[in-house]
Amino acid sequence: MATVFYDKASVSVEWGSVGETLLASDFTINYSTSAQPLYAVGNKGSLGQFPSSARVGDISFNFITSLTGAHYGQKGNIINFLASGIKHSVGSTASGVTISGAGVKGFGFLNSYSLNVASNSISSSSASFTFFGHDNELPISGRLADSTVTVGLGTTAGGSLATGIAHGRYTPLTTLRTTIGAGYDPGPTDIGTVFGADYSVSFNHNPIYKLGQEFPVTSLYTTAQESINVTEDIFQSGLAFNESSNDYTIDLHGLDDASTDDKMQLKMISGKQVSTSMSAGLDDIVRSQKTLTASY
Amino acid sequence: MSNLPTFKFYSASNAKLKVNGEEILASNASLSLRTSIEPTYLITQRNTNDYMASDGVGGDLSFDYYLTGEDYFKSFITGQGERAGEVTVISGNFGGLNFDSGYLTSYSVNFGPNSPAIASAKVSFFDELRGEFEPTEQPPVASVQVLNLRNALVSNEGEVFVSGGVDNFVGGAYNYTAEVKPVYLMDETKPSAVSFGPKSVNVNFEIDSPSGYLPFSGTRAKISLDLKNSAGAIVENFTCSGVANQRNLASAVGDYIKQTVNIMQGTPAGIEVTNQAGGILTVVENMRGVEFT
Repeated sequence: MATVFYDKASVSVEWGSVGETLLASDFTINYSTSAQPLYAVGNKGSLGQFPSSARVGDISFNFITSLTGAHYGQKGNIINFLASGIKHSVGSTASGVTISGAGVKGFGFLNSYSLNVASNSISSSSASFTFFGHDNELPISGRLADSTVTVGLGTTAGGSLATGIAHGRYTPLTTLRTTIGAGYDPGPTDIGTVFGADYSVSFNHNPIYKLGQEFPVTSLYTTAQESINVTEDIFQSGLAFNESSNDYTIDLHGLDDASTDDKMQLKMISGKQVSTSMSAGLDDIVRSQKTLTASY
Repeated sequence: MSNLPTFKFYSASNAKLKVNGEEILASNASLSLRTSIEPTYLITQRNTNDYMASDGVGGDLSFDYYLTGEDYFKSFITGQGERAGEVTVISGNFGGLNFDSGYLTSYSVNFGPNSPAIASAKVSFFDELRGEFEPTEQPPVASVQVLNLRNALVSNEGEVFVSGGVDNFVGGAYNYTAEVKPVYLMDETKPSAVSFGPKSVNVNFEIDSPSGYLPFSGTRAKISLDLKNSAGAIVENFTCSGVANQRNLASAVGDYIKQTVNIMQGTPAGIEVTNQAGGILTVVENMRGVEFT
């Protein structure tokens, strides 16, 4: 019997020569096969259950947004590094990463990545990967066992374990705020205050299956969709039919505001505002939300 | 005593499909029957209530079925009508409604990765349907093994596959069609014979390595797909040996570039077609040894 307590079930991600053990608060691995019942006319009941597609797996996990690591010069955790790399990739062939948790591992393709940051709050992230397998390699292998890698503590940048965490205290997100005005001098009349932001990006992959083989010969990365939901105190009633595109940069900072290493960056290219809303509740100010989207 | 009205509706499980007395594990079946009745006008009439038959009665039985081993219907592709008297008549029975003058006119098998092997067949018959619909209630047949394309092996020959180096076959289809016409003698409503017209086999496959190679006269090509059971033994084979006559390249946003190649074979009876550097086609029908130049 393999009884593994949570403190020995860390989530590690490896890509090529880089790897990182994430500050995951939970993770879930699913593995499924397709068993489709087949029926024949003249027969009451199923002939049996038969496979109709390949086995696939997936993993999803939530983790604290660590930002003191560095991968190929890019500061921040490895998930942010992967998302940025895939998003801006001009190649079609996707390279998966090896993800392991509690002794079980697979070769996964990043499906989605999201994070949130709000005033005076610790930022948290989540990610999910799909395991397609490859040629004769199973999507998932291994058995429940203690992870040999444990999460260390520290704030040194560039280490394999990135433990500095993003916090809303020193992350003003001024690049996301809305500025509106009448268009006359003396200039803008209202500049928003950002209370928080939710960022997400999702990726579409296309595994290519062939006859005579269960697992795909390759997987292609096709498109990605990115969005940022910004909570602030300005309602953009002048939302245009065709909003202009802008680049939006999010700089996430930790609690050590004096450190220059203490930063992780995300960049939305050619984002457009697509919606705005506002809501009021008891004992609170009127808050507005806008959604910025971009596609790759 | 129940006062409920009686409805004569049945479910799919109440109608067995049998061909030549053998039960077919069909996922769907349809039986159509048609006459050739036309209104009869006199010279002085613009309207008429008189109708006359102008041709025989007949219909089609179409069904999709799971391949569980060697396919019985493939035996109707070859050896049908090539020689006088060399015909196997097909009888069919769907829920008790039956005929005994059927001929296989189309047959196809789709090949999709990791999918159950499913074939489609159409039997045309030239007679009235007989019998009464008799619903059955029967449990499913004992454990069956449905062949899956995961356990397939595709092999190929020909320059069309050499060009670009084709390594992967994503999916495809094997198609057979035959033209069958009834031959009626005087006083016959059920033909005493049938006439076989052209038969053709073609396969189309999606492959990798996009290429535009397709010579003016086509190019010799052969695809063979072996279907294995779960034990790894080859239980069925689909081969098309002829000429590659079409290529298709297509893609759409969010999708990959799909290339298909089509191979046609003029006869299913083991034809060999050679075409050397655009020369004259040499067709050797192995049954008769006749050479056309």
